[in-house]
Amino acid sequence: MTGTRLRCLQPREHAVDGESAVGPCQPNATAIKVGLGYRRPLHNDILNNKAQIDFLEVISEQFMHSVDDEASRLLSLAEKFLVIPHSVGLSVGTASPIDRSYVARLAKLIEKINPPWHSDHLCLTHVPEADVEQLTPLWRTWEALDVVCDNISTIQSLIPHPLVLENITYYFDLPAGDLTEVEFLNAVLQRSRCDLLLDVNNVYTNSINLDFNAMSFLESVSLDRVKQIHLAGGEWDGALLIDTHSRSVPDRVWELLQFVLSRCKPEAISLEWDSDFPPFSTILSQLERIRRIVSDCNHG
Amino acid sequence: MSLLAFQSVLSRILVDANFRDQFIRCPQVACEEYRLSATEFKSLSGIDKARLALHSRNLLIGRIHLALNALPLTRELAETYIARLAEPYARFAVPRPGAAAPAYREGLRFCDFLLSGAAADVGLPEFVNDIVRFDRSTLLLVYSASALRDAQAAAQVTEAFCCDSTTVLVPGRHVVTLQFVSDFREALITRTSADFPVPRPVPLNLVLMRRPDTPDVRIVVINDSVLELINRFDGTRSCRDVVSSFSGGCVNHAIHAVAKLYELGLFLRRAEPASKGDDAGADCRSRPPCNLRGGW
Repeated sequence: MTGTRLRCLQPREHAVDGESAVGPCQPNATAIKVGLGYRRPLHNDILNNKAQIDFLEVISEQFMHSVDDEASRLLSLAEKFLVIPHSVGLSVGTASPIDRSYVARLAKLIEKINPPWHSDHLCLTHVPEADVEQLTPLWRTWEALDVVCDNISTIQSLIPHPLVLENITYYFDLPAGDLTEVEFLNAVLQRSRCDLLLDVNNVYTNSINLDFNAMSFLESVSLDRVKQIHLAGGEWDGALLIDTHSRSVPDRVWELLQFVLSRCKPEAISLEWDSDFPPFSTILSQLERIRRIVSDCNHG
Repeated sequence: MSLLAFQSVLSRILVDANFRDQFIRCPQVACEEYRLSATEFKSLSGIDKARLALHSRNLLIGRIHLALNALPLTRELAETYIARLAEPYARFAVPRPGAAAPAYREGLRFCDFLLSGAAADVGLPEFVNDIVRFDRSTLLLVYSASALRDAQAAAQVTEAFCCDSTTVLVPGRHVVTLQFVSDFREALITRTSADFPVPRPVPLNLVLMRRPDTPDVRIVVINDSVLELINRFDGTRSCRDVVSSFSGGCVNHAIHAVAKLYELGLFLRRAEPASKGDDAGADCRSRPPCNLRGGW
């Protein structure tokens, strides 16, 4: 790909044999990048406000198929922004061999834009028999942990760029597992060479719906492995908080972000807004609030 | 003990309404073929049923929205019926993994659902099948790498006839003003000739009908003035001469549309007698025969 201006963050060294490569929050001259999830209805606003957006996170599946305008749109974005692909189809938790054709298509996309990392979710989205198409929680057993780590290893052998996995929202839990969510998450991070995309709103949403303390959860997570943070806002559906990515970030999530940033320094923080788009000034004000919190935590 | 069996049961519970009902009624029978361990069965049986139902419904609504985003004309008709479509769609078929784009797969699945008659009781307009067939065919072309040449042709033709507000006449039946979803339309616009003017939002006098089993696009003329224009493209005069000399009752962009088709070599197909089950052609028989050049 010629003519593309690469704006790569410095890649972090990865853990070997379970040793954490990065210790507790360390002074780092590199400021935390503040970005936005790319959505097509926001395309023109994004281009018109380029100076206020450090990077774009794109949904890989929207650019992985042979529809001409998609490829050119992605390359055009990559010439103007640091672009980080965020997938939903790796399904690292599925207890069957990784879909190598999907990984090959993802690898091709990643090769085009050369991001500092790519991300997906700690979940499953399909099994050979059925396609759930959405992020589904894992039954957190030792066997599932082995499956996830094996799948991550396979993916990393096929795509050399660092893989970062996100914690998901879920509205029901699967009883009789071996590990709590935090235990499972930390074990994955320890055993595999992937870092964490900490979705703070997902932690908050789950804490509401499943009645646990979000702060205690965050205190227990291996925050030293947080590469990127997601922020978003959801909607209430009766007594459940749904992770719709269609509202401003709730006050409690801002508080949790401050707590996380007091304990670690990720490389990037991005806002997700998928629908019911407000005036773009509202989105920009959310990004600005992220920057203020980053600055207040002396990470700016 | 098989984790994959566990995950398969969980996935089916989430996306297969019939299986989910069976699991809730009698989980042992539903899971029998999967040979789950006692611990696996205990875990699945212990899932909060109300939460499971809510999660499944959210998944389903998400899938319908994903499909409708890929089917802009169908979306105009069906969007207000989503709540009523959800239940029959959940029972239509179990979604299977595939290599194609999720929007494409879900869009095709949703088209097949509507065309199967499974939504007959929902109350959609009676011409919905014509619209669904058109969307389905266009979806196939847009996402089919092997048919890229046809996709380009289809995009050019579609651009010629669709604008911000499009009047589509389903032959002999209804007139519906539809709005193209801008994202979908943008995907088509990038393939068209740069010098083709974007039509103003005024009603058109042509309808684009696609046969469900072929990539061919048929243009059915429903206005005598436009028909008269088209008949002037007999190869004896230049396109510009024809357009400049025409003083019929067509709206401006219809003239340009026809002229562009002629320039692009996308000839207009003569309206053919309808074959059995061919709804798109049924009303052509009532129209005067078109003096059109044939073939794509």
